[in-house]
Amino acid sequence: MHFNVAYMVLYTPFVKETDSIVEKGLMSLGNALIMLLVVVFMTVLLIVFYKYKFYRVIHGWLIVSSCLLLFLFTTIYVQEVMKSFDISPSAVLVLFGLANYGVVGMMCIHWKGPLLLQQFYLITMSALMALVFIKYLPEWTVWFVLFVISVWDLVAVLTPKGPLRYLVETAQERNEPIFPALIYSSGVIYPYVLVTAVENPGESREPREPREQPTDTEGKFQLAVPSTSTGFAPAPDTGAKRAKVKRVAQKVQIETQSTSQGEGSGGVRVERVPTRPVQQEPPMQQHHDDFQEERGVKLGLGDFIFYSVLLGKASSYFDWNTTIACYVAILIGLCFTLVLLAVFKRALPALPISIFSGLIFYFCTRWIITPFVTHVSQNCLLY
Amino acid sequence: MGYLLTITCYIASFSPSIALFYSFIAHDPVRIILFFLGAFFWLVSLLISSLAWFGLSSFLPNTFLISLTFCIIVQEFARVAYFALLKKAQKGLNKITRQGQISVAPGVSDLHNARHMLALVCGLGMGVISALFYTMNAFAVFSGPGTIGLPLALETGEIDPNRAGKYLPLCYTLSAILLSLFHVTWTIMVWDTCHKIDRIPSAFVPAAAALISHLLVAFLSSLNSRGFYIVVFPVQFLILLICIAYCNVIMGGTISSFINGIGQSITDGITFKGIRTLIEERKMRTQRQSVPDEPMTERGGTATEGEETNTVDA
Repeated sequence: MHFNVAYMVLYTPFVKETDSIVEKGLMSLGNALIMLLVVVFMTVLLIVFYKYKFYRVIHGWLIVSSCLLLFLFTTIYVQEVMKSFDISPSAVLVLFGLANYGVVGMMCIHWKGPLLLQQFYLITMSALMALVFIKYLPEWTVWFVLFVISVWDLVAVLTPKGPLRYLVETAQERNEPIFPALIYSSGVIYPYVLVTAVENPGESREPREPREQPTDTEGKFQLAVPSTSTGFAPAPDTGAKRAKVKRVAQKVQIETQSTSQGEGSGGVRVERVPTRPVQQEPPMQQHHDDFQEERGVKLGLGDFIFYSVLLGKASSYFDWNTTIACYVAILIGLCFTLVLLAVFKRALPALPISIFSGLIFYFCTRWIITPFVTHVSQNCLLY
Repeated sequence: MGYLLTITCYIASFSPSIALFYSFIAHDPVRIILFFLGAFFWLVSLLISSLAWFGLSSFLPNTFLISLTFCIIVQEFARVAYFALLKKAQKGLNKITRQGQISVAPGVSDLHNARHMLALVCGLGMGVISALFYTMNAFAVFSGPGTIGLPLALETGEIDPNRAGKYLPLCYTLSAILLSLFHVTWTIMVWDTCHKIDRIPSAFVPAAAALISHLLVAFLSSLNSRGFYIVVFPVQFLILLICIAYCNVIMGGTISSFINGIGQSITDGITFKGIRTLIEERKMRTQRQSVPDEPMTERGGTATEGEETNTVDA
């Protein structure tokens, strides 16, 4: 969590100004690989802690890092904003506001709070982290980092021994939710709906056994114990509603993990968990009183961070076309990931498709589309 | 002043799109996804056409009109491709949105027999992103210190950048409105052809009309650079009106019903009917939500046009 300049330079040692493209590329690649090594190391550290059940260490780690993000980085950010808009509020006001903001955030993330507020704070944290990356990483390193992290995400989630996959498997075996500071729960059930709709014509109202999953390659993985989730619907329901919903027997759960401190890569984990009707479900240990956080699509904070890095970097060239193209590309990549999720029904990384399509559209827009569009609108033509 | 001008431009340019988005798309997650998918398809078509422009301009001296024509044709093909994709996905989508005992996804309205509604959604996606691409950089420069004129990127052009003078923001705004609405009408036309072409061979007329009006609008706008703004915009809006009337005919209305509808909506607009209905709907919705057993299917917002499109599906 030490992202002042000195440490960023420590992570990215090659910052020499040069005009040679080859040299630039090599230096950026070197920086990106060093960043990747840090990420891999942190992930492995987290896995080791998790494996030997050092929960207190992990929780302490997460709390410290989110504390730093929420208080220190927010302070820095607010300071910069105030400077650039030339506003000078009193110190008491700033302290009061920041303290309230940070404390509410810590409560929502680590203890309990409304889902909406938790989502807001998680996204804000990711955005702050992304700002740090955008600000301190050298120009070309960002693109290499994005590329390398996406590949790492692919590896970490899809290979049999991948660390992120191991983490979720272990969490499933131990019947625990993954740390709430690491994942964003959306409470949206559409992938799950897609699964039943596409794969299961006519059968979607029947309770299904997990072994009926046709494309299920990871039998033992999917047959894991039921998750702690207790329902699908996004809002606390009445019993009647649940009775309707629970007839559809399966649920896709995406869980993602990123290592803390934003150095983490993210991955989406999808699991099909045989979910039983609420009444039959054994009492689970609940870290949170409201069940909302435990259901629906879950996305890693690491994903948010790197989406934000891409979008922020794209918008820093004063060309709105690039920004909007990257935005649409990332969104569509995410949608496509969700569709793949419905098809493959297993853990999927959320970064690669989105980031690759974002990168493609970034470079294409910057070098090809914008000249064309400029050329067209120079002549005031509608197209 | 600059920021005010920019905000005003955005509001004026996108108010028709926002109105359409709010009344037909915002309440339905699947439609929002389809909206963005439409935007993506338009983006891909733009990418292809600018690649072609890039390639052509390397060995041809003046490729501008060719690449513009190519761009328009590629856009129409993107619509066709989108239609094909939706056709393939329709089965699964219908499963989600089936109106039945179980509302697995509350808020999602029926896709079956809602071809024109889908065309509206996807076309609006295309229109909004094309309008954004057209205007965003210009609007961003309007926010600068007292800038009236073209964006920095355009200053190198050989045409006088100040030819529209102080009316340039207005031109951009009107163009954005035209683009976003035109894309809706073109998508409705093209999809109508795509839907019927298997059975009725003469069904190519709407698509041809779309292509021709698209080309016509594009080439009319090339007169803008010579300063004929006052002539070009009325003609373009007239074409837009004709296109909307034609779409109305495609959806099963008649010219007289179209005129009646316009008159009705003007009356409603004067008497603030929208606000009144909105308040009533809110009341209805809260009442409905307080009864948990009732399946949430179609919401009130789509009732008017939804019914229209459902009944006339051929």
